[in-house]
Amino acid sequence: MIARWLVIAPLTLAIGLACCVVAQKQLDASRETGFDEELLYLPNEKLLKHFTGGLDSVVADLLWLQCIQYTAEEFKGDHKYVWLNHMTDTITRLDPYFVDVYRYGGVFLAALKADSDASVNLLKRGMLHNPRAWELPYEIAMVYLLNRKDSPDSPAQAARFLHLAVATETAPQFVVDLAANIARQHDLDAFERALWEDMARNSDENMLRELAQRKLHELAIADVCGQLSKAVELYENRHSRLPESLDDLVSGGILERAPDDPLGGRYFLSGREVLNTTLQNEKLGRRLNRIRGGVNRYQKRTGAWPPSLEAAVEEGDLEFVPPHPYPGQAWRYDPATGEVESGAGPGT
Amino acid sequence: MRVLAVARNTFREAVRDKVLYVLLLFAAAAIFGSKALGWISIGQDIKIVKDLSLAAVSVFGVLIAIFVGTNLVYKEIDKRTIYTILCRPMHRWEFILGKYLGLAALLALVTAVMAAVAAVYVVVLGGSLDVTFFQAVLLIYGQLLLITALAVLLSAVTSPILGAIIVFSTYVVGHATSIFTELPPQFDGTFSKRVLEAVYYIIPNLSNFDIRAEAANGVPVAPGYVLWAMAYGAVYTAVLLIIASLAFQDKDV
Repeated sequence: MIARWLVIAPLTLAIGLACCVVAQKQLDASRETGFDEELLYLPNEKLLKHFTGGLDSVVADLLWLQCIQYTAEEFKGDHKYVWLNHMTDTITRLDPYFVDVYRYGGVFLAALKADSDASVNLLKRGMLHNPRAWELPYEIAMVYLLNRKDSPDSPAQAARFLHLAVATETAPQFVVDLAANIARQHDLDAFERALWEDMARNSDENMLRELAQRKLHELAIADVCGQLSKAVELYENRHSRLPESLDDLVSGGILERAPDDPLGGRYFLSGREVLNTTLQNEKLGRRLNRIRGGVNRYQKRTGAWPPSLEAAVEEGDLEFVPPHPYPGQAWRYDPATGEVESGAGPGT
Repeated sequence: MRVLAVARNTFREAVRDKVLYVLLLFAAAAIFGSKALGWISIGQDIKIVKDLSLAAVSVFGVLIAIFVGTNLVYKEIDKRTIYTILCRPMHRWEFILGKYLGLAALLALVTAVMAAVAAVYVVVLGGSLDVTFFQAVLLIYGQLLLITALAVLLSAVTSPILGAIIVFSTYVVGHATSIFTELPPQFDGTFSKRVLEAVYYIIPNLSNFDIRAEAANGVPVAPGYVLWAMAYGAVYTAVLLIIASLAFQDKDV
């Protein structure tokens, strides 16, 4: 009885299993289809969304895994990537918040399929659904720099999208540095000025026209700051000392009069540099938002406010503590309430 | 008090149902097995684990609601145990409400256990959870309460198999209700369009309870939205339970 169970049962199981494996292999071989044939029957994404029974994001995950395999197969094969656009469109319509699909899908489309238009369109659609994801404008900038480098406006477009990546306030430092470098190299100010001028002239929305006007004033103020900093340098060369205030530039004969800020701020000296309270307050607001975001992420994750801003950095909730835009000032942080305040600057 | 007594007994009875444990086993397998899919992604493993875990909580919760819910009243009638209950001084609506509350308590327990297992698994794998994950679990429970009310109604008026088919079909169509409003332009101004729009409002819109994509991707959802969705579910559930009570009141047992 025992021998029967010890010998016959495992033997039956092994033979049966082996037969099943052989039969299954035969069936697989006879029904083998390529990815192209499989994807031919991938339904329209709108239709698919109606019949997933609420499992849209799970279906999106499964399609994404298939998309990765399809891309790898095409990369090893004939490099046609015929179905890549349809797959990425379907996945992102099923799960519009799946940032990695826009990101890697955009990279696959631009770098492997060499379809930079489709890549930029996909990434732009991703930006509409995920305005806080720095990766998407960053990848568009990379498409312009790497895949469209022959186009004359590519550097300016890349600079523009890097600027948008930085504006999300979630971008890592290397993106911030890259944006600054590209802006310097390709005169982003001129590009940005043209953009705002166009909006100020042609936008149907009163609010957008007002925003564009304000941005043009800010660009003009930044120009004046640059010119005033050069005037400070000239004053130092002539008098072998730094001016104590901007009035010294007027009394020293370098300026006719101290310039006005059309937005109500004022210019002030910070060492050899001239700053403006309107621009510094703008930076102050953005940096405060960034710090508060990191503090809130820490609290959401741990249930307690971080003991210090540095603790939020160490835990990875805040990439770094941005410097206070006003020289000599520091952020005031209360670990009991999680509130971050600005120390009083000249214009605050 | 009588309602609570029925609810307590329903809960105890449902906890002893073997189907419950088989479904929970499958749910656990789906949650723990989700990591395997993450291996072939490009760093999206935590997102995939969250997606599949929340889907498992939802799908297996619905299956429990269907399998247990559609049997709830029918079984009492079929085994004639209902006579021992109804001969007591108890209204029939109290019996229906008690049955419903017992199953709702069981689903609360099951949902909480599955969500806790999923949450711990995500954290163990190195992921983080935000408030949207828990909002998604709350809305899944809201959806289960509505489905359970429909299952109890059908359990009072029809056989378990027919009831299960109708509830499952409602679950599928309830996630595709937008199909009734996104009509081609040929329908503009027609009577059919008005009828289909009416159908859109009559069929429970279960996609209201679906914020799983937001939860898996860490996209915040306004608390107001969650409150409105729960209010929608509460009103729908109340209507279904009133109809179930009325139907059972006139039923010849």
